[in-house]
Amino acid sequence: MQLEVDRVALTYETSRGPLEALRDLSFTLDEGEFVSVLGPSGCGKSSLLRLVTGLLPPTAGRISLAGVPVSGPRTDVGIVFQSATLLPWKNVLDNVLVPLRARGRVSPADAERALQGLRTVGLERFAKHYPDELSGGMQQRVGIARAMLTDPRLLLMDEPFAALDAMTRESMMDELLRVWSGTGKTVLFITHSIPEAIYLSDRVLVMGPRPGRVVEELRIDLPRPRSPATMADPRFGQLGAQLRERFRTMSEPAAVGAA
Amino acid sequence: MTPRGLDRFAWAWPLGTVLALVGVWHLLVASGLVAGYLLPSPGKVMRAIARITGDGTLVTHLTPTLTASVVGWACGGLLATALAALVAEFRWVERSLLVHLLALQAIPKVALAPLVFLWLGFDIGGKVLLVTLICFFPVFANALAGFRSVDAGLLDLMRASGAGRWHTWRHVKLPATLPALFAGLEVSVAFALIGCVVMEFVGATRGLGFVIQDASSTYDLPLSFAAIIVLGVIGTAGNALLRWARGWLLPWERAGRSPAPQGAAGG
Amino acid sequence: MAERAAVTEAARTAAASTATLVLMLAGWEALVRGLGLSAQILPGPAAVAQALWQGWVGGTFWPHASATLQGALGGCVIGGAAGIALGIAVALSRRLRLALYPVVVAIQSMPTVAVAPLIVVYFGVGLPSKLVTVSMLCFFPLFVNTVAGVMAADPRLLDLYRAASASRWRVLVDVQLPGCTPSLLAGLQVAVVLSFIGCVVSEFVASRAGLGHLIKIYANDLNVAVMFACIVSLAVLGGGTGYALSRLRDWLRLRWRL
Repeated sequence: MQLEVDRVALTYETSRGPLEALRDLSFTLDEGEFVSVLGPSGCGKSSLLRLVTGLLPPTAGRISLAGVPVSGPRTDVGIVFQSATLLPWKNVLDNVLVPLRARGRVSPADAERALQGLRTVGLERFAKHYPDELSGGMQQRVGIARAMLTDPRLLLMDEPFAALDAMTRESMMDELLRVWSGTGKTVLFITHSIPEAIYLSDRVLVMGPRPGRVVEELRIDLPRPRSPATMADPRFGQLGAQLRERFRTMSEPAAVGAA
Repeated sequence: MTPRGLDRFAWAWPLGTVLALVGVWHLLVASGLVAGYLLPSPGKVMRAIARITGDGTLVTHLTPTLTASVVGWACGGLLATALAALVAEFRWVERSLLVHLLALQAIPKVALAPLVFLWLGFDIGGKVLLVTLICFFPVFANALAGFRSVDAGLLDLMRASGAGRWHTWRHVKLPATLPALFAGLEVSVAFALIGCVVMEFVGATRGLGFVIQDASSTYDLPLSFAAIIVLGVIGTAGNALLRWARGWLLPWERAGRSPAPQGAAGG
Repeated sequence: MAERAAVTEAARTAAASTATLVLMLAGWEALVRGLGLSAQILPGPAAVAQALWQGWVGGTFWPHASATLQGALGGCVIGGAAGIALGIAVALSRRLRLALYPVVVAIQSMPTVAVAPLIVVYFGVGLPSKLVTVSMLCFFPLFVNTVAGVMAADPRLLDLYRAASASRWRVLVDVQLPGCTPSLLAGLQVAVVLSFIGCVVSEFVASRAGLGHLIKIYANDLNVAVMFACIVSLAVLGGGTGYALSRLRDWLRLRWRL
């Protein structure tokens, strides 16, 4: 599903006056693309997420999904958060079913679909277990299964691997690519890890510090399917260097007038 | 995203509620919906307060209540801190005493009031004793928790620097426990007043509790209400005072947290 | 290895505590005999034990224990329910919160039991007065804790539900209420303690039955041994209720992950 963000601005009202989170933010995601958004902390990445899911209206500009403007919460968008955000008092299967349960009854067919989702992420044996019995990586996989339950055409992922240890993170990256490839879903992946962005995506958007907007766009021309061998590819290093340089110039004090 | 203007005048809302409640109170009586002898009007109560303030009755009864509460609170707090320090510091003290202290905690201290009255009569001694007992446990529980939760890293540092037991306690353990201690002391303010008032219910000839009891039994409702309000103001003021003191003494602790009920030990 | 250390520690604690207990009881008895204290000032442990026996096995305490329990637990349920209901309402509505929360917190620092004589004037001598007094006391901890618990719901879970267009009711039942259970139960623990305080005070002010009432009558008789017995009984009742509650909390946490 195509996602179009057109000159979006977002300003929060706080007790200390207005806070501009995003200004003049524009980009487009084509159907089936995997795009990462890289940005420093506080650049408004999470605000962007809430805008795309329709939880928040933009102060200016427009967001459209498949050509239709976003005007409220959408059921065809799946979200994966930084920490799995599972209901601790429900078992894994019930957690996967949350997007459906939230809206009413759940049919046996739905439960079967949820089980299938767990099978896809390799956790069907844990369907009746509780979140506190699972590791961080496993909990995130449940989160992914939950996001995919309604077969959304757009997946939003907000730094989903940030809370995991380095080794789990690497295996989760491969896991994600495995689950995603062939589905044709569009993915908007927010991260602050440069290698992660390069490894996973077709394109990388770099967001500037607050107020956030896209300051650079990089096409990742590494071949798919990606594998650990890809990281050894010299091109991987080049792209990384490019992005790192961009970040360095961003965080330099704007001594030369407007950044 | 806060709706504009709601934050800046946040204090107006509770004030409005209070005014509204007083207004309803007044209307209930003025309209005759509730008989005047059942519910005195706000005006009558205010006049009663003014009267006892003017003719010295207030001072006569406020002083014993206030004195007993403050003294008992301080004694209870001090005793509790000392005992908590000992239990936390010396294993053998903990092993012998803690179980018994916890068992004593189960006794509703107010139940001791008639006993204390038998022993010490209705003078200030009895009130102070009951208040001390009632304030002891919340402070003890909090202080103990505080002493036990001192950063192990800091303690290791002290040991490695060759610091003595007293030195470590005075300079590391005590300051680290102060926030928890203060929390316990704040909770105890309400308990102190409760203890004193209950003691006065059971047997006394002076004190705000006595006034409430006496006025109620003679159906002098305005006076009863007046005494209750005065007591309420003191309780609120005491708490506010302590919270201010905490902010001043412990600036590194952010005050203003909502008073989530502690595992307040049995009063 | 760690298990053995724990067992040793428990054994040492048990030994030390028992030793202290025996010492204190012996000392108490010795003090009373030695000083020849009349039973009207300080009875020995033997006298208290006898009073306890007469009261519980003999049966005189049962109706009074029942009266106190009714007052305490009944009032706790009423006040607690009110506190939870208002707590949920306040947690969900920003305006209600701004208007009511500070007021409730301010009232909390007032000695609520002070109104017990007034309550007796309005509700008479007996169970209704106890229920009202105790409810007033138990309202606050449950109110404050329910508000805290409901408001502590994970905001991302709330986002998730909103993104799925869940109804307000659904969010409440699925996320906010289960999430506030630990906080609520902690408040209940405090409320139970307060309930016995409130009931005893109400009985002191005026009552016809109850353990507090007994303490007062026996005070008039200068029968301190029975007073002690009543106090101990109250402690056991209060402690027992508290213990039962903490077992409930454990069960909820283990079985239902609440």
